[in-house]
Amino acid sequence: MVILDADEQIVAMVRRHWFAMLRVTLGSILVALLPLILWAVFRMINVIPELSLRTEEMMLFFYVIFLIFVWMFYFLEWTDYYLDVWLVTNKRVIDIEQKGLFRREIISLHHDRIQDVTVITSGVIATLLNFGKVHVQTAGERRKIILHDAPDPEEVKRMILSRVPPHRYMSM
Amino acid sequence: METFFTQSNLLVLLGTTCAVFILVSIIFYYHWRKYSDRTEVMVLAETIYLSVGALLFAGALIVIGIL
Repeated sequence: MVILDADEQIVAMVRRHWFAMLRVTLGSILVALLPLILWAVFRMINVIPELSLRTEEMMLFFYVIFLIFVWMFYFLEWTDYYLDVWLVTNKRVIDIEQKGLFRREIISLHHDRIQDVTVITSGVIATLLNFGKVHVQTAGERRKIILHDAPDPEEVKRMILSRVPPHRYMSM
Repeated sequence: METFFTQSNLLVLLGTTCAVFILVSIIFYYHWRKYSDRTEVMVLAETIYLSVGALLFAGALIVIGIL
């Protein structure tokens, strides 16, 4: 995944909260069912004229093709979810972000460069399920990494801050 | 519409979709194997992805058969 230094150890691996994937799953199911729902509604209000059996079977064929594309899209989202990861090591924080299939960003911030860690939890579901955004900001170059939908964000913050050298921590 | 979408045209359409599906699967495998170290999760993902995909293609073939 990532090449670590010889004396570097992974302390924690953080992925987005499962609710992020549940959102995508429910959205995909809704998209998959949408043509059926529309079909039923239009049939009920008599917008669609009577079709021959062959035409209906042909529409069923196109619906299956549509489902194949929804399935591919779902796995694309899953790949994005699964390969987006934050690694907290004893030396740095590594943000690996998969953007689609052909773009991958890896940003690493050394603990001694970290200046600020901010946690934002917004919304009822995020509060109840305990997930939120974690921003990590470095000093000079104004670089920032953001983990969206981090599970237990306060714990992630604590984990990072516990490794930031005390002189930096005290200056925050 | 019915005259254009003959059985052979639908088979060509299904074949093209199948080619896209296989291409996307190869790209998924590349990513999953290169960037993940959790092999058991990846094997499960591959199995589910291909099984459901195969079921959908079988369904489409059956519909073409009925047509």
